Amino acid sequence: MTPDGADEEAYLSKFRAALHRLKVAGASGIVADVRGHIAEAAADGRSLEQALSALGPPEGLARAYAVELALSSIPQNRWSFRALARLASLLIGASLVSLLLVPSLTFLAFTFLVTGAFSFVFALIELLIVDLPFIQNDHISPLQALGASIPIFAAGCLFVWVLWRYLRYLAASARKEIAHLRAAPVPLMRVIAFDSAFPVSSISWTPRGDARQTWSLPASSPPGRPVRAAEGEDPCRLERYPGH
Amino acid sequence: MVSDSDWIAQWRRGALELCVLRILRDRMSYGYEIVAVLSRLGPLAAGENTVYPLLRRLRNEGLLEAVMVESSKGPPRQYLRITAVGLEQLAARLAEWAELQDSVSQCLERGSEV
Repeated sequence: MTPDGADEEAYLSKFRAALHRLKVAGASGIVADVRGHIAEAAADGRSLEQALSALGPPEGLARAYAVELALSSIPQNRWSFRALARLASLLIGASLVSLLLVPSLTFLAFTFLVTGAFSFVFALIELLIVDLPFIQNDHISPLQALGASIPIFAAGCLFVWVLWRYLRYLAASARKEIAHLRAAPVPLMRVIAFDSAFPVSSISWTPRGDARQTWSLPASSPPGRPVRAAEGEDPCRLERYPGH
Repeated sequence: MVSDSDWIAQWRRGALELCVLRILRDRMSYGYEIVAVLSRLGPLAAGENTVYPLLRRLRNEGLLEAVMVESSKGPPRQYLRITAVGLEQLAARLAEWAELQDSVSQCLERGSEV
């Protein structure tokens, strides 16, 4: 490894450690990005020293990533217990109902469709072409069988439709709950607490369809301890932070 | 009192995201090049330690996507490309920006007479 390579590795190693300390998600991807940015700068004629000095100290860069990613309006892989419980109850409830409904509707749909179709075809053959000795229709004339086959088939179609609607409803509900789960808000507490060394002076956020609200963080609040946890709020925005 | 550099930093922070999306609207680019473009824009000049985290966030939010492209100057480069969601977001933000600009102009011209 060249001295330059060693410097780069030392920088990236400190950067990786700082990202881990700040609990930044996707640290390895970020380190790979920064490695790529250093290579870009080198390819454009900058020395490694210049490239690293432009990035600033590794701890500062890691903090900048932590802050920037905390601003994200689409939290990545945040799972809220409430959404998880809702999804679990939906799954359990839907499974119990589906256990009865789906086989019954499938059986009814299949039976009625097949009976209707066969009755229609055989009644038509008997009526127009030839008497079918193996068909037991002692009490029903071919014309009556033909008439009855249509509502039987229609009932089969109705069962298929009900089954289809039910399955679509299930899929839509599951999709909605999973979307809820993925878009679960970042608890405000996390943003305040994520870095004790970082002096955030105020935080503003806008709950959906509501007016913007701002908290000023008291200078006396112990670093790293949540000032207030706002459950169910939208992802908040750090309003001011020095150095950026 | 807010210092001059703080004041500009506040303005820049809001505008930077919009400008990055706009830069990438016409063609894909890579991080260092985006920093270089911004550095030619006076007050919008932002350091790597501001722009790179922003690019990462925009990727996380699905507004940008990364594409590896072979480079004649070295190893393959990771280019960034705006996504359909990013284009939508850019259009909405440009409209908001125009509205804001208009309101600020009105206020600066006429003060309390608006």
